[in-house]
Amino acid sequence: MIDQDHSAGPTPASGAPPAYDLWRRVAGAGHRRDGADRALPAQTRGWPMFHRVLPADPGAIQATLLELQDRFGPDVDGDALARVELVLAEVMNNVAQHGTGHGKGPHPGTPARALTIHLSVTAHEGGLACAVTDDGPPLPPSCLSAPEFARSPERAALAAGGFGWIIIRDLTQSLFYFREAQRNVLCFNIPGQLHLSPRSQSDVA
Amino acid sequence: MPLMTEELADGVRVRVLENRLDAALAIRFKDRLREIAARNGPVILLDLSRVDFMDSSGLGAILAIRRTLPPDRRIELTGLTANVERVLRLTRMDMVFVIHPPIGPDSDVPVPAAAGSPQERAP
Repeated sequence: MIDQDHSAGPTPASGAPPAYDLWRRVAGAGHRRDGADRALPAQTRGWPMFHRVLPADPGAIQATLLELQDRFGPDVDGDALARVELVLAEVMNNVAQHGTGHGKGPHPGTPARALTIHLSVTAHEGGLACAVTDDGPPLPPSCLSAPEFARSPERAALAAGGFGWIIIRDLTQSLFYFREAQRNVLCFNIPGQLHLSPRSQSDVA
Repeated sequence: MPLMTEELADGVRVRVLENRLDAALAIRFKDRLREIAARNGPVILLDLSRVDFMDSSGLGAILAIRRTLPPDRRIELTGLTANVERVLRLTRMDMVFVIHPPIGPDSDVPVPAAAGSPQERAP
């Protein structure tokens, strides 16, 4: 329906607010599926966005990360893609381990709580904007702030814990957390200079 | 969990033939490495040249085995890809392991159908 405009579409204008325009695009597609969405600004079409709803278990998380690679592989440079994959693995595996009450032990069968993760990643000119939400118990506030005293590497190796949040804090920008309507919401940016091209297809359509 | 072992003069080289060491594989990996570490030594040289993605679960599995080794045995690392090296650097675990430069080509290792070098992985 909207494919015709893509080949001629210019690269996205730097001043466009992508989140707002994507929202308009989704809203337009939802209400008027007869081609009326052509009225939306052409420069926002085809901006890559990835959205998934998945169970909080390691297999589903791995599969989603591989899909993410496929989705952004052509457009996003390899280093930014590697960083977003690592951070999202840490964030979502934390939910699978701690949020479910599952812990790190061998899978005992049904988790104490089955949780659902909502993942949204949007590529923009300053990197990859990510939002991860889950319906687990509230995140302990200490996760987001750097520890006051850095452990020695050897002590950290023996404790073998807390590495996920070190990685998350280190590789993200604008990391913030809030809790709303029984869900944890974690938002952040993975910085990168992305050179996006309009694509003929998007998950949003 | 494909691991290939090869005797060295002072221990064993353990080649990880998976391209991901993540939460989905960490427990199986840890169990296999524990078996190998129990029977070999003193050096357990973990060759990660095929691993192009490792998260803190994969690192945690290696550290868990390291912690339980008797004093005369040690895990050393070789063949770090850029993504594995990044995780070790961010967590400062590059300071607790002896890290060796990559050992020669491993063309004698059969390549599983789904695996490949980091360059080949991107579609």
